[in-house]
Amino acid sequence: MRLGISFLSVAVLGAVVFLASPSASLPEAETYVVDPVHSTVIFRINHMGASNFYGRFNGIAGEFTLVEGGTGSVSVTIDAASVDTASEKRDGHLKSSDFFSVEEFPKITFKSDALKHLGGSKYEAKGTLTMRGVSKEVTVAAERIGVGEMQGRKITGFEGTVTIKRSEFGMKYGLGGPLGDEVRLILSVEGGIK
Amino acid sequence: MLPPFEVLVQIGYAAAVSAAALLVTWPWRDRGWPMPVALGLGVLTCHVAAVGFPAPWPVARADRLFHFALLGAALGAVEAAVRVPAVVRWVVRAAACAGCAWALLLPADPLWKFALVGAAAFVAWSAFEWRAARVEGYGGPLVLVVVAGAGGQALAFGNSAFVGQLAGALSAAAVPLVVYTLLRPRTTLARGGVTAFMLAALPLWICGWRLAKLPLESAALLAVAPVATQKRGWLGTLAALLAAAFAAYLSWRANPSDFDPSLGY
Repeated sequence: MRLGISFLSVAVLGAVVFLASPSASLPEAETYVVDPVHSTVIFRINHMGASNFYGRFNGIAGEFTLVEGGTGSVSVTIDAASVDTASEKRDGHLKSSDFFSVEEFPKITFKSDALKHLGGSKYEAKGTLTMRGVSKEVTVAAERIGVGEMQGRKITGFEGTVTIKRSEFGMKYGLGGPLGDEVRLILSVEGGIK
Repeated sequence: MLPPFEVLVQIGYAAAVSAAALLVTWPWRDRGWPMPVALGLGVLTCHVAAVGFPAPWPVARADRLFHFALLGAALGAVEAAVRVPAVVRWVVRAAACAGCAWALLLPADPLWKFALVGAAAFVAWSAFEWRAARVEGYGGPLVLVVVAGAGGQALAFGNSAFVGQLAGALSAAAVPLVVYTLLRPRTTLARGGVTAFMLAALPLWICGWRLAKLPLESAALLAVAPVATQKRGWLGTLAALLAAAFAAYLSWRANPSDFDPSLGY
C-alpha cells in the first residue's frame, strides 16, 4: 500500500513537471504587430496595353501570428483613402466611386487563418480579401525575408504577392480600354513582436 | 481616365439609342411614353457600354445609378400612358425621392441628412414638374441638355469621371427630344419626361456629392436648375445654363489640380 501511494505521488509529480516543461508545451505562437512605417503595399496595373503602372497605399495596419511548426494567421487592413500614385487628380479619381469608393468602403482587408510554411523561406496564405464591399478567397504567395531586432524587440518581415481581377471587386471603369483588369498586389510587411 | 474619344463614343450611343427609340415609337407619339423611354434607354445604353450590366442590387452605391435610370424610364412611361390621380403621382414621387436618399447616402450618415436630401429632391422634382406642365415645345428638352451636360462637367471636375459620363449620356439622350419637340411643338415634359429625367439625374448629383468631390452647392444648383424652364425656350435655357455652368465652376474651384488633360493620367 505504501509503495502504491509513493508510486502515485511520483506519477502525479512527473506529470506536473512534464506539463510545465517548455518542450512539452503546445507549439509556441508569436504574434507580430505590423509596423506601418516599414511596411508597404504596392499595386501594379497595365496601362493602355503599353506599360505596367505602379501605385501604393500609405496606410497599413494589422498583425500576424506565427506558430512553431509552420502555420499561422494574418490580418491586414489597408486604408483605401491612402492610395498614392503621385498624381493628385488621379488619386482623387481612384478614391471616387469609379474605383475604391473610399467614402463608402474606407478599408481593404485581408484575413487568413491558413498561413502555411512551404519550406525554406516560402509561405502561402489562403484567405479572404475584401475590397469595395466584395469578399473573395485569394492565395497570397509569400516569402519570409528574415528576422531581426529593433529597439530590443524581435522583428520579422514577409513579402506577399497576389494577382486579382479588379472587375470581380466591382471596379469596371476603364476595362477593355486604358486600364487592365488584372492587378498585382504586393504586400511587404514588417512586424514587431507583441 | 478613359480617352476623350472613347467617352464621346459611349455618350454618342445614348443619343443614337434615344433617337432610334423615338423613331421606332413614332406611331405612338400621341401617347406620351416614347420620351421617357427614349431618355432612359439612352442613359442605360451608355452605362452598359462603359461598365456592363450591374448586379440586381449592387453593394456599391454608384452601381445603383442604373437601377434608378431604369425605374425613371418605367415610371415615366406608366405616368404618361396611364391617367393616374395626382395624389398617387405625389406619393410615388415622395417614395422615389426617399428611395434615392436611402439607396445612395451612406449608412453612417445621420438621419437628418437622409430626410433633408429626400425632401430637397422632392421639392426640386415637384417644382420642375410644375414648370414643365406650363412649357410646351423645345424649351424643356433643351434645358435637360444643358443642365445634364454642365452637370457632367461638374462631376468630372469633382473626380467622378464615370458618373460624369452618365450625366453626359443623359444630356446626349435629351438631344433627340429637342428635335422631337420641334416637330411636335405642343409636347411637354410633364407627366413622364420629368420623372425619367429626375430619376436619372438626382442620383448622379447625390452620388457625386457623397461618393466623390462634387460640392454640395453644385449638387443643389444642378437639382434646381431645370426649374428655370420658360415658355420662351431660349430664355429658360440660358437661365438653366448659367445655373449649371456656375455649378461646374464651383466644382472646378473646389477641386484644384495641376492635371494636364493633354497627358491624361
